[in-house]
Amino acid sequence: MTQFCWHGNKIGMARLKRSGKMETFSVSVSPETRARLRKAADRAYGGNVSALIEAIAQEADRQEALDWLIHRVPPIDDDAFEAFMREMTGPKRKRARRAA
Amino acid sequence: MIVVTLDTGALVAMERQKLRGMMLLRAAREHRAQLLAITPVVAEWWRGRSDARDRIKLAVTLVPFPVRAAEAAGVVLGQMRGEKGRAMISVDVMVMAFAATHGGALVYTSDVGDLTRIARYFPEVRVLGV
Repeated sequence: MTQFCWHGNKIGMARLKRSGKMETFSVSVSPETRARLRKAADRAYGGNVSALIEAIAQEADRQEALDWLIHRVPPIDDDAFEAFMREMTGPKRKRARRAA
Repeated sequence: MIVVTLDTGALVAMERQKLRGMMLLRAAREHRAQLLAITPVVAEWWRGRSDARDRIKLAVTLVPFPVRAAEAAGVVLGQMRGEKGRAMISVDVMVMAFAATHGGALVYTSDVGDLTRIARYFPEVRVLGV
């Protein structure tokens, strides 16, 4: 699965299943990029490059939405943001030990 | 990338441009966090479309509630039988169960007190406030 999908199950795949009218078009990429696309499609979409491209388009929508939301407010202080990220990545909770 | 489960209050915080809600969005923008919300949370949050809500819906990965999380939530709700306002906390329990089973064991909420109370049933889940 790619970062575009939720890794917990195949919802990303299901969402990307083809429905409705499809269009075929040509794109030009380097041989290396083509190989990378194939590899990514094999890894996450059963070899379906079209599904991978759908996911890339979906991620572009997500980034556009995030830009729109973030740019409504004044910039966030970088130090405050990094402190927030440290809190987020803080130590995981441990299961309580059973009493002997 | 850190996986984060959001409750209704976290979505509201984003909608109302609260600082910590915006920080969650920035973390997603920088590919440092993946934001997940289960569909029952969407039911609590969604009150018709607006430009902001449409964008939040795109920014957050919306996840149908999985069976394994539903089973975990059911067991906990059974153990909480008799507690006040059990119906009110059903979605909170679902959020915690999802975080424990699928959602990165990290929850952002506007209601740290209630979710921390439920966290005794999900000791691996960290609860942080927006």
